[in-house]
Amino acid sequence: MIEIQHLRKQYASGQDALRNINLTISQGEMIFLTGKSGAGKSTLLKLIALLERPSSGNIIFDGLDLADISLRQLPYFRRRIGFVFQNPTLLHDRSSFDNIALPLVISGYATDEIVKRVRASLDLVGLLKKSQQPPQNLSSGEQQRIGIARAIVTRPEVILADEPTGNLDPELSKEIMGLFSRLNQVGITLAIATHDLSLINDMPYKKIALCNGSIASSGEVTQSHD
Amino acid sequence: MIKQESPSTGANRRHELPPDKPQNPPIANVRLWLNNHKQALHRAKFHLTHNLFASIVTILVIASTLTLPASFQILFSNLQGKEDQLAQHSGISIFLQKNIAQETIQQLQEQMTAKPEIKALSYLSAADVLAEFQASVGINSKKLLPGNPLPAVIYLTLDMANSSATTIQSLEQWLGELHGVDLVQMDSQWINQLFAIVDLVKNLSLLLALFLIFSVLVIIGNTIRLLAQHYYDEILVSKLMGATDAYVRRPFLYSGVLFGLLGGFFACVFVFLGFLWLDPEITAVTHNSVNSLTINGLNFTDISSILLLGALLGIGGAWIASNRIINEISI
Ligand SMILES: Nc1ncnc2c1ncn2[C@@H]1O[C@H](COP(=O)(O)OP(=O)(O)O)[C@@H](O)[C@H]1O
Ligand SMILES: [Mg+2]
Repeated sequence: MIEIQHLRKQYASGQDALRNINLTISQGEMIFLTGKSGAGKSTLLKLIALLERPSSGNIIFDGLDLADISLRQLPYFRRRIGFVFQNPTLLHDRSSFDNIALPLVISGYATDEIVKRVRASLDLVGLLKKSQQPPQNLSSGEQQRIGIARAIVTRPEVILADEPTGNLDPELSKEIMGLFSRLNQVGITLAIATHDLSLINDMPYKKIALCNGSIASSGEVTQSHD
Repeated sequence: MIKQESPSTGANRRHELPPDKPQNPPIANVRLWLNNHKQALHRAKFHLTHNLFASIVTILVIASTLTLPASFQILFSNLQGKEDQLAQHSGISIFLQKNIAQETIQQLQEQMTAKPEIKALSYLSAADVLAEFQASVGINSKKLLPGNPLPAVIYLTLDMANSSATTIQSLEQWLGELHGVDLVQMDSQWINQLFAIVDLVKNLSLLLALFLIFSVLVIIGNTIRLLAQHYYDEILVSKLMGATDAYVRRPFLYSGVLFGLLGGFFACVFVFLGFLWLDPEITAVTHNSVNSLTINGLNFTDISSILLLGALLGIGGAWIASNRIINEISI
């Protein structure tokens, strides 16, 4: 699904944020990117989402070299990816329902399809009852779930999550990770960056540890998938 | 539970660039396009009504700034064509001294009719002159001029067949020396002077109008810039979710057009009210039949050109302002 070859990223400041990363994320796979703050996790996700361009090396997304995507094509590429951020970046001037509907509205879906899909997404994250609430009326865990519902509503091929539990207490963090597992079970490919090792230690997914911009270890799946 | 697309659809997309536009049948594209514009207009209305007071103030500022160029436009479109009409006059105006006796006037008229170069003669008392002036300018001048400062006038029509430049010149001199005559003026002369002044005024007001129109562009641009800054998060999130620049820009363009149109509309209202204040009769179409300067108030062309100007300034200002914010968010 995603093949990363000799990827290097140097920011304008001159610092190497990533150096020679080689990594394959298969279709339907879920991986964790781990490492201390500053290791390069966010940079890697940004490069995959084309929020930044690599200094050298290639990213092949579903057979497509991302270097070939022009500025004009970029928005259409973005629609194939779902993002989840540490801060769910919800818009406070509208209901949770309308927040989740935004990517569908942008992509030009018909109203009845939007209603159907938003309700399905809300149901999946267990917040159907709160659909008319604006996000600021929800708890931080609920807000993050709305953010995830928004990321999956377009049925993206890949979900990229950058510290999705960074603002949540351990209980809620577990809940969110459980939600990602369920998304993976329906076939979505996920890459999740987190520095919280204790949270993911006993989760049966591949863990890639970054250290100073390089892959330190590419840990195997610790438990079998059930 | 949400269902993932079947793997085969994913496989079909392999080795393909993402399409520039969703590959829909044409009718669906038309519907999508219409829907996009409907949404953008809806957002623009939301922008406008969200902070209603600020919007009203902005619209009134735009309207007052457009009022002056709009008035010029109407005045000058009324003057158009009148110049030639007036320049054809081949007569002499004799302005009489104030407070001269009725017999002197009678005497003057008799002396003039005796001259062979003079074909016809007409006398207008000071009151008549004022009435004609009012009718021709279309403005109730009592509001502008206190009392009646105008003199009585005798208009002479020359028999051009029986006169040459020299005879006219000596006639002019003779007229000037008559008792009771204040000033003798060849019509073409004062008409030329009038139009030289009109031309100067025209050029100055064009300059002023351009300046004011540019100000409206700046006002609308600044309003949209503030609006786009207010919706910075929405723009950012939308771009992250695959919104094109055109999609992000569209509601702001509509907002600009709405500001411009409403500003233009109220400018028309202001102009209308202004002319109404100067003369309540101004709006009557057949106001006067005197073959001279008439101001017809606002007509359809005036209104539509002011609205069009407003809309163009709106879209221009909004385009510049929204692009600046969109380019700032270069993701
Ligand atoms: N926009 C940027 N400009 C310059 N340097 C950056 C930028 N973003 C990240 N970095 C640097 O790149 C390195 C990797 O950062 P990041 O990818 O955010 O790490 P992580 O997400 O693992 O904490 C850090 O040293 C950081 O200071
Ligand atoms: Mg980070």
